[in-house]
This record gives sequence, C-alpha cells and structure tokens, in this order.
Amino acid sequence: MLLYILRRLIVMIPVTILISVIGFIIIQAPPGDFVSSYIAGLEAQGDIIEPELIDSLRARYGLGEPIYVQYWKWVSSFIEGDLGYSMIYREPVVDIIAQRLPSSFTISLLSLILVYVIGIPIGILSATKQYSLADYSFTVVGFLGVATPNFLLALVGLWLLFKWTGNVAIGLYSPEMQNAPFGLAKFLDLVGHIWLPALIVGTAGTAELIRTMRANLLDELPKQYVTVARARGVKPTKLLYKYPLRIAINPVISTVGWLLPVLVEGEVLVSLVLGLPTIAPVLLDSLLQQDMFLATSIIMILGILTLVGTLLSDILLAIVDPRIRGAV
Amino acid sequence: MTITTRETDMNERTIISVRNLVKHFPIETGFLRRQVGVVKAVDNVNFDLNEGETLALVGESGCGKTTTSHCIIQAQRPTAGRVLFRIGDAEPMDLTQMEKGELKEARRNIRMIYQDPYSSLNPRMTLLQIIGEPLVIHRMVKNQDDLQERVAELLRLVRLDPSTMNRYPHAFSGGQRQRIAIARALSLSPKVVIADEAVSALDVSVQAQILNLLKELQNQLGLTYLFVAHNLAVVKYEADRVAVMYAGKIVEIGETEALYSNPRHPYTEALISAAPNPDPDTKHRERIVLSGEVADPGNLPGGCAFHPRCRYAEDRCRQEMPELIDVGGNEIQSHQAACHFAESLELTGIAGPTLREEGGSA
Amino acid sequence: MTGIQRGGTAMDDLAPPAAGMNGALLSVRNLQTHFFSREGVVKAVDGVSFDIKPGEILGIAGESGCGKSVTSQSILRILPKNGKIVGGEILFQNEDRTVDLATEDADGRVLRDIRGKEIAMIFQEPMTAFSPVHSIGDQIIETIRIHQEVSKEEAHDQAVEMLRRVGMPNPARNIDEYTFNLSGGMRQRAMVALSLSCRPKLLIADEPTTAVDVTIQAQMLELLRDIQADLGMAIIMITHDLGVIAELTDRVMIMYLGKEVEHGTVEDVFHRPQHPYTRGLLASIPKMEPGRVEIEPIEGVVPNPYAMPTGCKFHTRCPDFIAGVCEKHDPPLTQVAKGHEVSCFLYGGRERLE
Ligand SMILES: Nc1ncnc2c1ncn2[C@@H]1O[C@H](COP(=O)(O)OP(=O)(O)OP(=O)(O)O)[C@@H](O)[C@H]1O
Ligand SMILES: Nc1ncnc2c1ncn2[C@@H]1O[C@H](COP(=O)(O)OP(=O)(O)OP(=O)(O)O)[C@@H](O)[C@H]1O
Ligand code: SF4
Ligand code: SF4
Ligand SMILES: [Mg+2]
Ligand SMILES: [Mg+2]
Repeated sequence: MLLYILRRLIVMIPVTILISVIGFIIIQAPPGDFVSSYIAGLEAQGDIIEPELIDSLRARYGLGEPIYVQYWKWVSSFIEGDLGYSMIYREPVVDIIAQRLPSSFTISLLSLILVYVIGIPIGILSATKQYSLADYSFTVVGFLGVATPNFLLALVGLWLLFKWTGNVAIGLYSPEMQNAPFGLAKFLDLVGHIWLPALIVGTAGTAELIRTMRANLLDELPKQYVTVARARGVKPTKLLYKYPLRIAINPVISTVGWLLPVLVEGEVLVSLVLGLPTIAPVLLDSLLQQDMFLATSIIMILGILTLVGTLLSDILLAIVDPRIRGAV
Repeated sequence: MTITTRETDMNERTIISVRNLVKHFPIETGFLRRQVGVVKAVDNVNFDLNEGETLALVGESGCGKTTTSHCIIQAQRPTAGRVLFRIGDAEPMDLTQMEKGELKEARRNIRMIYQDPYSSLNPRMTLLQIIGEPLVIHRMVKNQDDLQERVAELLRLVRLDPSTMNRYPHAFSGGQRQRIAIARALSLSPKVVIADEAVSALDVSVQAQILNLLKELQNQLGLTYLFVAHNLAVVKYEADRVAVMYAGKIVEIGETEALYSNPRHPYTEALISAAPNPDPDTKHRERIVLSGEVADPGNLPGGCAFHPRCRYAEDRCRQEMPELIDVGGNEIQSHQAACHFAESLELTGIAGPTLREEGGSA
Repeated sequence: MTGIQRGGTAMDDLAPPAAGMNGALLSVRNLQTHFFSREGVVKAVDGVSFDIKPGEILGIAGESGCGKSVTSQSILRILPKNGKIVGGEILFQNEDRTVDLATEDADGRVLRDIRGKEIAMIFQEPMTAFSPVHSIGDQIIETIRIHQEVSKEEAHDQAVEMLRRVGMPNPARNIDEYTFNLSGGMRQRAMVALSLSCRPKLLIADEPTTAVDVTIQAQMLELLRDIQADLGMAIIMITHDLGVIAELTDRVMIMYLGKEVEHGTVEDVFHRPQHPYTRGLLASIPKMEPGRVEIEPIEGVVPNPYAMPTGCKFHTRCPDFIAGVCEKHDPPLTQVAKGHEVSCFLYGGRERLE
C-alpha cells in the first residue's frame, strides 16, 4: 500500500513538470517577450515604469538567456511563492489568490458535499426502483440539471430569492458584514449566502452523479454474485449496501479528483452573476486581458489541486477495492 | 518464397507442414512494460496436414490450439519455425517468410471458422454482404448478378434457403449462424478450413447437424480440415487423426481409433477417462481424476510439463523433457507420443482393458 | 391440495397422496413460470412436476432455453424481476412442516431462512459467484452467521473446516483470499464450500461444470459425489451435458421448451428412451466408444420462445408426428413403466381427447 502511494507520487512528478511547461508556454504565448508586453500593458494604462524595475524584471526572468534558463528561473520563483505581478489588479498574484481561493474552496467543497449527499441516495433509489415514477422524474430532473447552464440557474435563483425574501443575495456576505472581522456573526452571514451558489454550482455534478450511480448499480445488480448472495439468505437491504453498492461506488470515488476543477469551471458564470469573490471570475478576466502571470498561476494551482485530488481518490479506491490493491 | 519439395520432408499428400513452430508472448509488468518472462503458447510444434483429411487439435483451455491456428494463417506471426503450404503440384511456400501482399493466395485457400457465430458475423450486414464480402475483396465475381448467384449457391450448400440472403444475422438461430459462417468460409473455394471450436457453443442437436454438414462438405468439395476442439467425443466422431496438446506442445499424435483405444501418453489416457460418457452403465468405472490444473505456459515446470499431474511420473520426468517419438502406426499414419515411458506403460483407452482383451482373442 | 393436473388431464391414479408428499423432500407440481416483457410472454416453464427424496440425485437436462435455470430459480424464488410463478406448487418439507415455496413472499422470513440453509445453489461461473471485493471467507462466514447463532470465531472455524473438506490446499490461508487470486479449479471448490457451509438438505447445481476443462470437470464431479456421500444431501443437477447426467444422477427429467418430456431412472431414460425428443437427443451425441458410431441430428431448429408451437411443443421437429393430433393437443404424461413417464401421444392420451 505504502509502495503504491509512493509509486503514485513518483508518477505525479513528470505530470507536474508537464503542467508547469504548459504554464510557461502560456506566459510565452503573446508576441514579444513577456516583460515588454507586460510593460506595454502597464504603460498603455498610463503608468510610468521605472527603468530599474524593467531591468530587475528582465534579470529575474533571465530574458535574453537560453529558454531553459528562463524556464528554470520562472519555476524557481514560483516554488518560492513569488507568482509574479498582476497587471490588471496591480497587486502581487499571491495576494489575489490568497484573497479569493478560500471562498472558492469553500463553495467547491460545499458543492461537492451537496453533490454526494443528494446524488448518491437518489441514484440508488432510481436504480432499485427502475422504471418507477420516481425514477422517471429524477431522470427528467437530472437531464434538466445537466442541460441548463449554471448562469441561468443563478439568475433564476436570484430572482426567486428576491421574490420571496426581498433580499438580493449578491456576494458572499451582506454589505454590512463585508468588512467585519471574522466571527460567529460573519460566519452565520456566510452560511446564509453560500448555500445558493453551492447548490447551483453543484446541479450539473449532482445530475451527473445520479446518472453514474444509477447506471453503475444497474450494471451491478443483475450480476451473479448478487443472486448468489440472495440465494444464501442475505437480507434485501444488506444485499444492496454490502455488495453492489460497494462496487458501484468505485467510479464515483475516482471522480472526486477531477470533479474539483469542473466545479471551479462551473463557478465562473455563477460567480459573475452572483458577484462572488471567488477565483473563477479572476481566471476569466486574466485570460481575456492576457494577464499571463495571474492566468498561469491559477491554472497551475488548479492543476496541482486536481493531481492531489486524483491521488486521494486513487488511494481511497485502493482501500475499498482489493482488486486494485492486488494489482499493485 | 518457394522451397523445393526435396528441401522439406513433405510427402505428396501433405498440404500443410508445420515445422518447429514456436510462438512466445512476452509477459510485461509495470508502466515501464518491463519484460519479466515469456508465455510459451506454442513451443516447438510439428505436424503434417494431409490433403482431404481431418486432423483434430485437442487439449484443454490455454494449451495453444488457437495460437497454433493463427500462426498457420499468419494472423499472428510465429516467433520461429516454418509453415509450408503447397497448392497442387506447385512447390511449397513458407508462409512465415512471406509479406502480407504475398499471402493473398494462401489466405484464399486457408479459411477459418470460429466458435462464436454471434460475434463473428457483422450484425449490420445482410447474408449477401457477409458471404459475398470475400468474393468482392478477392475480385472473384464479375457483377451483382454473379455475386447473388454465387451466394445463393453457397447458401444451398450449407442447407439454408437462398431467399434469406437479404436478411440480417440476428434473425437466425445459433446453428444457422454457424452455417452462415461456414458459407462465408467456403466462398473462395478454399482447400483448407481451420475450424476453431466451431461447434463448441452449439446445443447437441444442432452440433450434430453441423458436424454432419462439415463431413458432407468435405466429401463433396474435397476439403482438408484442421479441427480445433476440446470435446473428445466430438473429435472422435469428426477426425481421422488427432493431435493432443498440453502446455504448448503436442504430446501425442496418431490415427483417431488407435489413439483412443490405445493411448500412449498418460495425459491422453486421463483426458479419455475424464470425458463423461452418456451411458449410465459406465457410471461406476474407475476414473482417472487428475489433480491440480493445466500447466501455466507462462511458468512451465521443468522436465516433462505434465509431471506434476502425472501418476506415472518418476525422477527422470522432472529433469528431462521427453521428445515426440514413434510408438506404433505405419509409414503413412505414424503414432507418436512424448513420454519417457510411452513404450512400456500400460494405458487404458476407451474400450477399457477387459474389452480390449476380448477383442484381441476373438 | 388436490390431485395434480398434468397436461390438462387429471391423472389421479399417478398422483402421489397430496398431504404426505410420499417422503419427498421437495415436490414440484405443475410449476408454471412466465416472463413478461414488451415483446410478449415467454412461458419459460410451463407445467413441470417432479419429486426429489432426501439424499437422491436428480438430473434435469435439455437444450439451451428449455427452462432448466428458470425451474431452479423458481424453487429458490430468485427469479429476475419480470419473471413470475403463475401456477403450481413447490412443496418443501422443512423440518416437520410442509411449505409451499411458490406462494411465500420471495424475500420474506420463511424463504430467507430456507435459502442457503435448507436449499443451497451453485452456479455456472465460480468467478462471478463471489463478490470481487470481499474475501471468500467473509462470504462463507456471513452465510453461516445468517443461519446459525455462532460467534465470529466459531463461524470462521466452520468455514475453514468446509474449505478443507472440499479440498482447498491451505484452508487457513485460502479463507482470506479473493476469487481473483484463485485458479479456476480452486474457485469451483470455494463455491461448493460456500453453498455447503450450512449443510443444506438440498443442493441445486446449475451447470456447475459447463465452463471448465474436462479434467477440472472430473474433479468437480468427484467432489460432488464424495461430498454427497459424506453429507447425504439431495442434489438437483442441471446440465445440458447428458454425459454428466449419466455419470452422476439416479433419475433424470428431460425438458423441451418449458415442458417435461420424459422422466425416469437414468438407466430407463438412457437405455430405453421413449420420447422422440429424448431419442433424438441421445442419437445426436458423439460417443466415446470404439469403432464408428454414427450420429443423427434432430432436424430443424428450436422455435422462438415468443412464438411457441401449439399442441406438442416438439411437433415442428418430430419424426413421429401424428398429423391432426400433435399440433392440436398437449400430450399428457403417460407412465410407460414403473417410475418412467413420457409426454407423447405415441404412448397414450389420444383416447382421452374430445
Ligand atoms: N496475445 C497474447 N498475449 C499473451 N498471451 C497470450 C496471447 N494469446 C494467447 N496467449 C496465451 O497463450 C496460451 C495459449 O493460448 P490459446 O488461445 O492458443 O489457447 P487455446 O488452446 O486456444 O485455448 P482455448 O481452449 O481456451 O481457446 C494461453 O496461456 C494464453 O493465455
Ligand atoms: N429475464 C428473462 N426475461 C425474458 N425471458 C427470459 C428471462 N430469463 C429467461 N428467459 C427465457 O426463459 C426460457 C428458459 O430459460 P432458461 O434460462 O431456464 O434456460 P436454460 O434451460 O437454463 O438454458 P441454458 O442451457 O441456456 O442455461 C428461455 O426461452 C429464455 O429466453
Ligand atoms: S514423461 Fe513422465 S511425467 Fe511426462 S507423461 Fe511420461 S511418465 Fe508422465
Ligand atoms: S406428441 Fe406427437 S409431435 Fe409430440 S413427440 Fe409425440 S409424436 Fe412427436
Ligand atoms: Mg482457443
Ligand atoms: Mg441455464
């Protein structure tokens, strides 16, 4: 098992390097060297740039030196936590991410939990009561969930909320709480605001999960070992949760890893509509305005998060499924 | 590439000669695909297939029957060895040395039929398309009318109604689908047909129909069969000669009746003894029940591969690999077995020792 | 319980006295199991009757689709969702009480207590008989603890003992293994151990040797014979292989398209087959006998289950077909010798028509 984790970690190294190379290529993508375009961008906005700053930037990123040296310098400063400077926000990238990542993370995590808490039981219900009214209704709702764009759901949610409470749920906090120090009151305020975006961001994932869960279970239920267990006198409830569920849930576990970036992606429009201080709109902005340091940093962080998520789900899988352990 | 007959030991009746055929598959592990061993799927196999005969290849799952067949038609390239094929009086050609393009004629003359008539027929093609496809590929028909005529003829040959040629395979039963597969195999008028477990998936009543059909076709068209199967009773009915395989090697080969009534290899004896006979009177006979399981061709025991399961095994068997040697038969139909004690062991065949003595004294 | 109706004709002279079950452990009477689907109704089992006594080995044979598996699934009430028992009785002598398994709640207490404990089943594919994510021991111990009030340790010991009895090489270690770690023959043994873990009175074996090599099949048959001699349970052996039937069973029932066509001791059925289908089947099998023995196939094909023939189901392929009778009427079961019954108009039943 330990060996397995170690091996997975070793495999992660080349993948991480690959992600960083892609990140580097993105920075290099705009015409001209990126410091010039960076400066051009700043100057275009009427800023005066000190020649010393330009020189120090050039030295730091090794411009004019061979490409691998440039890459190395960029990577080492990245590892040291120097993610560069954002030209649109006029702030170090680290600060922007530090402000936004926690709320992104909270919404994603909450969505993830909602996805599982809602999706798994409904998937099971749909499969065990195949072709029942409930199954049909959930299939339709699930289909709508996948097909409806999140921003539309966000708008509808906003409108409904306004109709019912007269309250506009823009942002994660009420205006008066925005700058309050974090405490119980602020936390409650957050809880009151966060459920809507979490729910909306989670809809597509939930619908998807219901479908996967239903299909997996329907695959498993007619298998012989279930019949055999039944023929041994195992109770119907145990027949479901001890055997097929255990196997049907495997693919669900293995999606934990990539569900995270999917949720962030889903967040983009919802956050824009609901005006949430998450990382997603920043990513969009930075890509639109070619703010390369910011864009790359976010992509790299999301990439690494995905890798970690995948590793976690693989470890979980190996714990629940002896066949995977056996193959290690 | 052609070879003169003198260079080979093919006799005039031989149509395919398999010489020292070897097929190894690498065993790889890890994501670096490091090779950690080999599966000796076919390990130095020799036999001749004579024109107009049925030679059966029998043995348990994984002994290399399919791999041998595939190496003959070059669907898999052998690791070593030769497969000599001769059409009429022409010089034999070594199929293993030929490029894909050169194999066309051989492939037209050696056709295969597989076990599963469900998956080997394309469900989106009509019988006309399925059976006619090889004809079109090999440009053996001039036009659509010609094609239809030829397909109708083939359908009649396998006792199917030609008016069904525009239907799809799902409309047919298992036995009928196997007939379709046979019609397709026969469309190019081949000389040799390799039937790989062609009747294994069929119900007995239908299996009997197909077995008889194959025999009739053989008589009518002068076909030569390599009949791959694991059911000994079916093989006894269908084959003139039998080659018994164990773990990639032929352990016994001989004329059917001789091999069944007078087996010379302990594995053949055990197979015959284990085959269930639909006669309750034989219920209480002593059966040889082999312990353990078929040797793993990826991890063969040393010496005679059969020794862990052989009840006659001695020290020599653990060290020395027995060669296939003549144990009887005649010039044309030799009987060979690969066992150190093939000459001395008293083995029991289908009749049982008592019956055989009666036969001898009569 | 009243007299049994067989093939529409009251044959009270043949019917065993209803209440006493004649010493039978299981008595299936005129069982009818149908499947309902969009394409129509499949009468998978359509009037099957047989008895099995304690310790007896009964064979059920017939070609693919004749209803062998559905019969066994009906007995244990583990039919797929769209299958229903629409008629007949399945009387099981449970301790000193007779229960009709056909009318009990499929997942109710009574059946759950019988399954695995009184009647156990083994299936064709040992690989898929075990859950791939639980050890074989886990599943054997679970079965023991469902049916007996014993501690985990005790159940574990019983499981090891059973694994030893079926010839597992190292039971104490094998118990913690998963099926994917076992070879084919070992899986078969583990499966037998699983089904016998509570020492059932009846074991139903559905094609247990079909997917294995002949040497493994021989091991399996030997194992079943030994275990049967040892534990004395009754066995219903379901197979399409008449060789296996001849080798293992005392009596045999031959089925065709959901109907019982012939029934008797193996000697009667194999040496004196009466029904044209049985005769055809026996003539189709290549024999392991010296010299050339010709085989004669049954002509034609098995009809589509959604379009069953009227009258005698075999009439579309029967060489002895009696025009005007066989395609119109269901032949009743007729006794041709003591304990040897055939359902064919050649042996009677015509006089009772109209
Ligand atoms: N492509 C392959 N790669 C690795 N091993 C292979 C491959 N094909 C076959 N083998 C192995 O070679 C051996 C012989 O296989 P083959 O299919 O020829 O057996 P067979 O006698 O036809 O068996 P069966 O009766 O099951 O069809 C087996 O152990 C099989 O696992
Ligand atoms: N779930 C199902 N839905 C519809 N029809 C079914 C179902 N299961 C079985 N049948 C039908 O019931 C009939 C009897 O099937 P059964 O499985 O009992 O055959 P069998 O004798 O066991 O055959 P085999 O030798 O192929 O196992 C067949 O015609 C089959 O198509
Ligand atoms: S060589 Fe030895 S082990 Fe091999 S078959 Fe002969 S007696 Fe048995
Ligand atoms: S009842 Fe008629 S058709 Fe049926 S088996 Fe007998 S003779 Fe043949
Ligand atoms: Mg094969
Ligand atoms: Mg079946």
